[in-house]
Amino acid sequence: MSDGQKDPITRLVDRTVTTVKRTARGVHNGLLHYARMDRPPLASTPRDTVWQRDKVELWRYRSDARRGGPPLILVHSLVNRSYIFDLVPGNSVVEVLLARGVDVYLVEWGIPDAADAENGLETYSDYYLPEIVRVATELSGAESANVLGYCFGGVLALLYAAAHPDAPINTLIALATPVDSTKLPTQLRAGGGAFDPELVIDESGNVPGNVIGNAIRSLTPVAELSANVNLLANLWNDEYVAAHNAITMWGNDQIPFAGRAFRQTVRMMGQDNGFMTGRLELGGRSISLDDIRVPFLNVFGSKDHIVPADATRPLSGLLGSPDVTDLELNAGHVGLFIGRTAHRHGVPAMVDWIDQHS
Amino acid sequence: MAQPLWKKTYDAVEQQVAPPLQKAMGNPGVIDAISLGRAVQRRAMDDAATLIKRGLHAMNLPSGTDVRDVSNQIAGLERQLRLLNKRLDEFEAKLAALDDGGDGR
Repeated sequence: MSDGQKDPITRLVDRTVTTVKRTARGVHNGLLHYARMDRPPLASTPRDTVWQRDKVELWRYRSDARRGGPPLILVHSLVNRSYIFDLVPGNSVVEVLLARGVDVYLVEWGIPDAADAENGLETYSDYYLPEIVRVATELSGAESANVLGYCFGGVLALLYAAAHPDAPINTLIALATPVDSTKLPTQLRAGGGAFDPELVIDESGNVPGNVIGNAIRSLTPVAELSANVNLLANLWNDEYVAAHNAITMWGNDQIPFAGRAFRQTVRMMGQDNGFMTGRLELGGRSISLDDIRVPFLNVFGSKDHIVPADATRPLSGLLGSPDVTDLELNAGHVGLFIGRTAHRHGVPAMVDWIDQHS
Repeated sequence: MAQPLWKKTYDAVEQQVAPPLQKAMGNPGVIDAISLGRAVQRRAMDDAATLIKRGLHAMNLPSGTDVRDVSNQIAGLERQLRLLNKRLDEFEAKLAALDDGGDGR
């Protein structure tokens, strides 16, 4: 019997029962949340650490369904945690990739402290990444690897590919990677103008995680309050609460930015707008995006408020590669690869593109 | 199920308040003010740390700055160790290349 066919009293009883059930569930979830007993199981896909140097680790995800061919190396940003790629069971891009038979590696940069303050962009792009790509291709028995950089990880991947034109890269994929810093929000312009990076570098020689977190939060000043209000309205919904907790935890989990790399970024991106003007250097030598000749996929979100599409769209025209594809998704910064829509459409589109080029 | 009234009210207020607030936070004047606030805060904390350090040193006790200095020195040592490791790797790679090229002679 459909709801419309029920008599008014039965409908009222049904509605009351639903309300009572939801309220009870909401109170239960609310208490768990308040007591912080509802922490989600983050980054739980089984993996092995296959390489380690200093604080940097290379993880390879276990799978019985690897199809062979070039592996995929996920290169994360330097300012937040890499578990966004393997958030929670059921909402993990790593899971989706493994299900498609991809041989997945993830670069975990670690949490910088005073010992990492002198790490420059060349430490990541000229020292760690070449070794990581060599190890991954060797372990996978492949001749080359697909390299996917997300946000600032994309910047590192671009610098690596430009500085090493002969590197064993099969394809390069940039996700929400900023190249035109004049199109970034004022708070993230890495100091266009007279910004002094020393103002935000602390005694350890790094930029504290909370400085970066506050800059990102200031882009949408009421977003945190709205997220909590939405949580309150959806406390009865276990799935919603789990997703909220996972994303909120990650969103508040910024890590320090190595001081030297930060100063270089302020100069390269904030002051020189180096990707757009061609004034790029790594480890004291000039490099050019024109030297990137491998197939390239540029993925960006039309709703991204952190790295707006306009800041990343020009990238496709800056490379020397004759095989360049743009993939604009109706998503935000994280929604590019997190959530149901991304797992049904966005991520499969990326894997299809990789498959066509492997 | 329909949204509760309080949620509808919040959404309506948020739609009015959020865009101007967002715009204001992106104003270069606000960014400058935050930078200035941070510089003043840092100076004030440095001054306070100097005073506390003097007091603790007068009692022959280590201060927070002393602990920080020691941890920065340890970090410096770790960096030197990394550099040595890197040099060692490069040296081993060169040796291996020489062995390969030397045909065992």
